[in-house]
Amino acid sequence: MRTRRGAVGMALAVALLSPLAWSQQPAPTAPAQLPARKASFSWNDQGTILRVAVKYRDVVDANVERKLLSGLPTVIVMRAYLYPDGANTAVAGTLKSCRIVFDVWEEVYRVQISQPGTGGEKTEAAPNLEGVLRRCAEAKDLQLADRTTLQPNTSYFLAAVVDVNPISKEMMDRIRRWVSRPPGASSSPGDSLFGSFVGLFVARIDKTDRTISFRTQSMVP
Amino acid sequence: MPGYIVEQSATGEDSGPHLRYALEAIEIRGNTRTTERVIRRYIKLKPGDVLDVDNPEIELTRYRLLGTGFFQRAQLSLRRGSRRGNVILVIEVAERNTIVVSDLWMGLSADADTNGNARPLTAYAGADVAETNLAGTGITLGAAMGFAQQQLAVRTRYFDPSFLGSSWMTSGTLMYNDARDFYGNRDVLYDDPSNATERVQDYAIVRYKRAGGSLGVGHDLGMPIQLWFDYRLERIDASLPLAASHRRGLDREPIDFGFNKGLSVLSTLRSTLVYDTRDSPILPTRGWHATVAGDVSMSPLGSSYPYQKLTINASKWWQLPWRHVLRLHVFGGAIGGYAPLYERFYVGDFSDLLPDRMLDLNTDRRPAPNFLNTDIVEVRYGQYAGKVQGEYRIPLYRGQRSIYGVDLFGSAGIYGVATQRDLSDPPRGYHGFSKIPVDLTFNLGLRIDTNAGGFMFAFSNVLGFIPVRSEARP
Repeated sequence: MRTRRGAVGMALAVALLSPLAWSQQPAPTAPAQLPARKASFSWNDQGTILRVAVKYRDVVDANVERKLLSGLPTVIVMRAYLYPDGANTAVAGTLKSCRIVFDVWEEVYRVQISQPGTGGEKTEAAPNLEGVLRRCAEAKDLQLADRTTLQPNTSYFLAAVVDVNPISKEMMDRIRRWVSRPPGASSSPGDSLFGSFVGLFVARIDKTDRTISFRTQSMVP
Repeated sequence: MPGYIVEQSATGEDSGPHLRYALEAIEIRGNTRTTERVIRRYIKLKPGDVLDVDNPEIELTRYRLLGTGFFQRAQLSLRRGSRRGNVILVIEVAERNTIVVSDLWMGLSADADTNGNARPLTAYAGADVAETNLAGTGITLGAAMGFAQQQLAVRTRYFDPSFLGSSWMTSGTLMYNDARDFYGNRDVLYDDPSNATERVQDYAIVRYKRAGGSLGVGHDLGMPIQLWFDYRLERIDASLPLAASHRRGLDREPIDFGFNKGLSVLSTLRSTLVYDTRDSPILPTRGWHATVAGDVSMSPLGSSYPYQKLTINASKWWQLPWRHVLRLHVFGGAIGGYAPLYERFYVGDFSDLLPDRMLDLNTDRRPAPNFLNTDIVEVRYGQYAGKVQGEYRIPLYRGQRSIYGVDLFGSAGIYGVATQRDLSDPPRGYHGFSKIPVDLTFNLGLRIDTNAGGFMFAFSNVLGFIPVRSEARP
């Protein structure tokens, strides 16, 4: 029965998350060990969907703030996973993504928000950084799990990963091809040097510009 | 006005922040050594373009600049232009140290003294250092030097990733080797011109000097494919014994030294095709790296050594579901004609239990370990070679600072090296499978990915001195 519930939970998770994001981004491996912060959980009006409200404004540090002002797109993606206490396998998951571009002529932030249960993507204009943080570094009424996914009288917690400018797999492949071709590199049939230095020099590629992870307090829905 | 559009949906509402501007100019900041001309080579956007902020070219530009290795940081941003709707693309770079150590060699080998007497252990060492952004021009200038007992190799090289601002790459090398090599399987009869007496020695020694260089031109054929053409010219001065013979199988035979006596010239034309889809050069987890190279050396090119050489080298990596990495490596090569010794396939380049050649210097006199009791023990250099090897890598550490990754690896493979005669007329005294000159090889060690490049610490060279092998002779 537990397995079946898990399968239902995963189905919901897949429905809530974009398939691309779900397949490419791993869930936290030790979610209970993540630093804790407060979140509030609630049911929708029908009492069928568990929702969460949580803030993660600290993902916008000075560097990200500078990027937000660059006039080029910045994407903030929050992935959240619901775990039963003591378990390392998520029973449900959700996603909120936000894409922000500063319009250098109008001097406003144009914000595109995507989260389940809000009827698709929503575009707004934020006049200042505070407006961006409110829209993109906080989740309100974020749909998390269907009631049928959850066991009665079981305690759950949420673990979340927030990425700034995650790079798609395709873009990563293109970039790596660029940086991994050392000038004049040659290959020899043998590989048997004692302490050889492979003649390759590359810049490292981070998969995101910034990432934070956290967990919430436990709760019984 | 071409620019400044906030894309509208059919309903008239904003469909998203898809901003487009007119690109008025590109401004480069922070470059103190690297010339602006070099940086602009990596920027495909140009003033007058319509700049869509979603154009992936913007992000690729950043990584192209980082990929040069010239910069520690590259940041792109937009600022207002002189007219509404116009923007200036600002590229701010922070330069980094561009002197890199491309190769380091250190190891132990078993060689022979000048008289051909076997010696137990000698050390060899070498280094290859390069400035990858010479005077801010983007040109690489490198130098390498290798030392072994009574041997010296020197190299200088340059690489220009954009010759005269074009999409063609050029390269050049100058080289000098004062080298020697060891000949003979056993019972070597050696008539040294300096002594003018015939002696029985462990090995016959040939000293030779090489001096010359090469010029190359290359081009990218799409993202993962590169094509190179290189012309090489070398002068060789070899001091050969008056005569030498050794025991091959059950028979005594003269030794082929692989050089013309005295002065000779090597002149070759090489073309190389490189296919590279690895996700990382140091610790790849998937993708291909393959090269096909063909050499032609002919008398009309001024060469004293008429030969052709073809090599195919391919590796494929897979990441297993439990994050370990599997690599399959295949090598095949063939030489037709009379190639100088150092152009032939050497067993040490295929067996992990013998040192590879360092800048073409051969530091080791020993035969192949011969785990399979074949006539590989009679072969030192060959015209044909093949190798199939598997490698299994276990990630031990992943980091973000100076050390990015450490993997434990183990590899095993089978290889063969043979001359035409080893195939058509195997040495007498070997029977059945033992007439096929093949052997096993294995290796164990650590591969380390650092911010200065990749290191490999392998234990095979040390293991090669443990006498576990069976040097079977007929």
